[in-house]
Amino acid sequence: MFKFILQRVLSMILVILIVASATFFMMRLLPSGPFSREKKLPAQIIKNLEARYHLDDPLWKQYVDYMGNLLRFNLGPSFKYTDRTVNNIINDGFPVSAILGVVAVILAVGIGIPLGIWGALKQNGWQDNLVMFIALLGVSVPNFIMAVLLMFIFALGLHLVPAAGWGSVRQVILPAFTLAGYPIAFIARLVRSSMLEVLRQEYITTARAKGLSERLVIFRHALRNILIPVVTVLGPLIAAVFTGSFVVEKIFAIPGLGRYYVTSINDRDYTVILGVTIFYSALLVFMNFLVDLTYAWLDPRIRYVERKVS
Amino acid sequence: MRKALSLVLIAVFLVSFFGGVSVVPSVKAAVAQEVTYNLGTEPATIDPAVSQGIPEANVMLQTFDGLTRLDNKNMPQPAIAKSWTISKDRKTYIFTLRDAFWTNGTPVTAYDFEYAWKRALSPELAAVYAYQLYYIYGGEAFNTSIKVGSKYYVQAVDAKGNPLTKKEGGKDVPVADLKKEIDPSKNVGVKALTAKTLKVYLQSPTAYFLNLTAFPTLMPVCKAVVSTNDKWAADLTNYVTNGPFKLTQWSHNDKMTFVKNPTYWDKNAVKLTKITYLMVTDESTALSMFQSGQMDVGSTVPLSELPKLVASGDAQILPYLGTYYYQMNVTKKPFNDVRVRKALNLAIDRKAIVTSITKGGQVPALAYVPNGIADAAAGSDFRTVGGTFYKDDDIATAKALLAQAGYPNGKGFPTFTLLFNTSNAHQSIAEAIQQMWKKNLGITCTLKVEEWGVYLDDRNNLNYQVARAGWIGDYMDPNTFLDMWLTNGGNNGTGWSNKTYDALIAKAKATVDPKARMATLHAAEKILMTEYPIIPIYFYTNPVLITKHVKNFYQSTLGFVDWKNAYMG
Amino acid sequence: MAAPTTWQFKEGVTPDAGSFVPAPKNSGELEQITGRPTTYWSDAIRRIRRNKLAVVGFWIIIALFVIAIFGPMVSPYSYEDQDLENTFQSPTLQHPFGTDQLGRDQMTRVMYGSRISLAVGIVCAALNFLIGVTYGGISAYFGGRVDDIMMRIVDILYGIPTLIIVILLTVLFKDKGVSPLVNVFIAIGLTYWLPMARIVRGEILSLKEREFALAAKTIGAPNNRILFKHLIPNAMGPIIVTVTLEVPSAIFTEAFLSYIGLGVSAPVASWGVLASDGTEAIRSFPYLVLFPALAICLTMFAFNFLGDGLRDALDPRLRQ
Repeated sequence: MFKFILQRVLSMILVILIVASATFFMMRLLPSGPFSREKKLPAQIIKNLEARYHLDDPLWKQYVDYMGNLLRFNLGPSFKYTDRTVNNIINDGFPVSAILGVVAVILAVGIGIPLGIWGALKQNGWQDNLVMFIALLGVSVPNFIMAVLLMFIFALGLHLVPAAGWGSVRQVILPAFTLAGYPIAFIARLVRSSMLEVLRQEYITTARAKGLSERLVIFRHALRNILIPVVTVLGPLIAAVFTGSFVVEKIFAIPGLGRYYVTSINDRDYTVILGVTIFYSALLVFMNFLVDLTYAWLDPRIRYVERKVS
Repeated sequence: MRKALSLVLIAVFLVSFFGGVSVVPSVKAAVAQEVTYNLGTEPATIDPAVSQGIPEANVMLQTFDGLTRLDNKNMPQPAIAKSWTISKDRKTYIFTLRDAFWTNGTPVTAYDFEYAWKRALSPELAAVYAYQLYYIYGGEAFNTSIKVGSKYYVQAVDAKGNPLTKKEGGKDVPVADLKKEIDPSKNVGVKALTAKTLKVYLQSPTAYFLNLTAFPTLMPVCKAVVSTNDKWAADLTNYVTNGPFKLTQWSHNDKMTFVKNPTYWDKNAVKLTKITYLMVTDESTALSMFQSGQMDVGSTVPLSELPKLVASGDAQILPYLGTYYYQMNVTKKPFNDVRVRKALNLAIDRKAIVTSITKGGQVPALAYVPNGIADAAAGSDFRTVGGTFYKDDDIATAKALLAQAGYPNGKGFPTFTLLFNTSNAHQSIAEAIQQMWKKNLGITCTLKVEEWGVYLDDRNNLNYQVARAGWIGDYMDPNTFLDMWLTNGGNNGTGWSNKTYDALIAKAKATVDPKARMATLHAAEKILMTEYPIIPIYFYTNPVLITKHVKNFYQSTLGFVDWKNAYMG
Repeated sequence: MAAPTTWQFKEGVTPDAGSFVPAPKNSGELEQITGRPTTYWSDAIRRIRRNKLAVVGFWIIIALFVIAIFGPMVSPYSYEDQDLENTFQSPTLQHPFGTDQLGRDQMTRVMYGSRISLAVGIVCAALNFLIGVTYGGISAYFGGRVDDIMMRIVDILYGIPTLIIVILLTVLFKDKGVSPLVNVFIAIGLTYWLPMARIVRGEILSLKEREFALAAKTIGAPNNRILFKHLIPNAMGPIIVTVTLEVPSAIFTEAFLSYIGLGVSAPVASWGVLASDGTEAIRSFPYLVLFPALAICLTMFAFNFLGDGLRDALDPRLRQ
């Protein structure tokens, strides 16, 4: 197991370096640069700016310098937000996105799993159809429409929560539900489908035959076996929602990290692009690592190390 | 069951769609002098020297006070400068400063101005808007100089006059001409004669210079603070300012809080005690927050809601000094033929575009320079004096011109591409014009949308046929619209070149007499509007959301908001 | 004594020899004890026919395709004809879905848009099956080093910002005469199979240690047979769920892509584009977003009904 973890950590670092390098060179291929404006700047001013941020160095040198700084966790200055560094930007934005992310993941799991189980237990009954209806609505109504609808109904219509903004608990509710919409649907559908299969397995019949209560049958025997697809989905999901969603943060005016994944690319703010990309990748590979560990715990038969033939 | 359920859901949808959006007027306590404004985006900086856009200007105008400040007729009025004298050749200005103080209690001096302007011009600060100071004698030379050690030099040139560079560590480094030093203390036309007297020497007579001194880039900074701490603007405790308001809180991408500045020289004129800036980028969200009382003034209004909001008094349409136009690549066939360019220009129904699509009170553009710039005679407008150059929706003339150019009824006219950047508004206008050209002239174009950076790159490199563009004035003078069309001008992305035009712009620059100068600029515009490298479509407007409680709200035609004289009533 | 009618004796062979005679060749027919022969697929089709919702879903899909192909042909309007005098008209008999910001008939535009959106949906589903399922299956089945490398590649593809890739694609394809839809398919093909690969891998990791898989291995079944005939059919539940949930997000991604400039250009508009454009005017003209959104919902319902039916039909343990 120790060898597996060590190997895995090394391959995770490799993944992050590959992502960083690929992003570095691809973003430099994008037309226009950080100082392109509709009102074109005088050539000399652009030269001054490039000199200031060392963008006039040869590309390989910029790459080596960046990677060197990266190893020291120095992500560099933002070209657009001249008084801020990328570390500042992540430090300010990540906690906000993460709070929203935690709530959204709790909602997704806390609503998605029970809905899925309920649907499966009442297969083809009206409850099942209702679950299916909610789930399908959750995936076919995209988050930009969902966000606007929730805001109209609960903020402008019923005055239950503020329309947008950040700072109070009540301002978390709508964006968290918007973020959770798709995952709730996904998880509910996955759980229902896996549950239906598990309920047909012999060991469940055996458990029922032993006279165990339905609740025990489900929670002790069935649940563990339906969690593998849920956990698979949760890995990348957590990485994605914790680092913020552009659409949700834009519509609900939330000062998170998600906006930078789009705006930094539009602004060609190179250091910010790299910073947030590396941050997300690191979280992603770590989550997927946790997912693999969880698999082994959920299903002890799963092994990652080749068994020695004895 | 399923049916009943879906009926319920549809009902919920409909109620939320049609009934849910009731406007609830916010009930405010009597007259708390506090206002919440949506800035619309996070400012890139709060350092006036490196300031570069409207959001930044809207912060700087509250926190700083320049030599002058614009009144609500966009005319410069004394601010930190209490008076000034101008030499006969209109190149030398002597400003006399009043007693004013920084927020740290020290007096605002002429030395602070001299330091601030030279700092903005210094090549190592690399300020984006440094060119706003190129009007000052030696400003451009200093900004483009090369630093060797602690001294600045002119870049060396070879025999042909091309700037010299050398390879150093794999990059091209400009070579300094060590015989030509630029000493900013001597060679740049700004000098503090005493603590209260500032002498400014200009490159050429600049009619609008007193407007420029109200511009953020020309704001003073506290020399004692800034010269010892180049990260001064990163931390609010070091953010020493001299304007009507003091920035006390900035939570990034969320909000800024300003309070009335007790050390401001004109504090009795300031009525607001607190201003909150929000940074809501989504227009629809901003409207929701406005309607639920979370903000009093908003800088953006969703297009589709504008007519309704104007009718209900929740939105106002303010003037904006800008022109929305299409530009043509005149280096490529068939746009190298002026008849073709003119035909495309005439076959557009601008009135239909502004009344049915943009709906923001925009004015159909029948010339290039927009309304709102003063002409030489008092109270006259450059546009009114200049008049219009063509008729809107003049299909008959357009058809005739196209036939003359060899494409009767569009026959044989090649299919071309109309380029614009990602935006629904640009797309709707492009779709409408595409159809007008098809219907009126029988010519076909395909629409091409591109991401902002890709679009800019293609536009700047003449890698297009027809492209959308827009220009917002930098200052209130026709020159800001006209000098961009000089041959090889940085913002002349059309390949168009006209010697007479270039000569007229140069002449206007050197002319002191306002009447002669304006006449020259009118003549220049006339050339532009006979040659048609561009198709003006409409003059911009600036719609804002605003509650009736906000009085004396002032937004300049450049889009800058100044809260100094506003109050709640 | 009378010989049993079904027995026949060969001439010249004495019955008293007591020896049994081989039955004639056609006797096999008589020995059959079941009815018509049944295979995996015919069985599946038979079962899916009994699932009413699946049948409804199937017919809705057929109807959608018919409308997509023939709707714009029979409509009195074209998707691009503008009428600037009659913009933002509420739904009427003349314009059942109303008109848009340029006075175009929204119903015609929705019908026309279905061509793009349905194509995107189908290609996305196909890519999920072809790349996602196979990739995830192979990764899990071979496990160990293979699994580590294949899954780290997935992580890398997850990590690189799609927006950068998409913008680069727009530059790459510029003026190349590549069909705009092909660009969209390539962009979607780059990332849309990733969740599927991970889900299938998770399932197969667990399934391959089950008794039936070990049994298949023990009797020497080849790897690809074990993977594709035994393991993947057992993971069909999560696979179908994933496909049906990836499709709508691909439909909306297409809208985003065309916004960036990758895909069909205006005035052609897909459902995704119509819905996101309509969202801008949602307060005053909600019908503009309502109809394209309903069209997407209806399609999703139809595919899910059919998908569920298929899942039940294809599930090997449900065979009767």
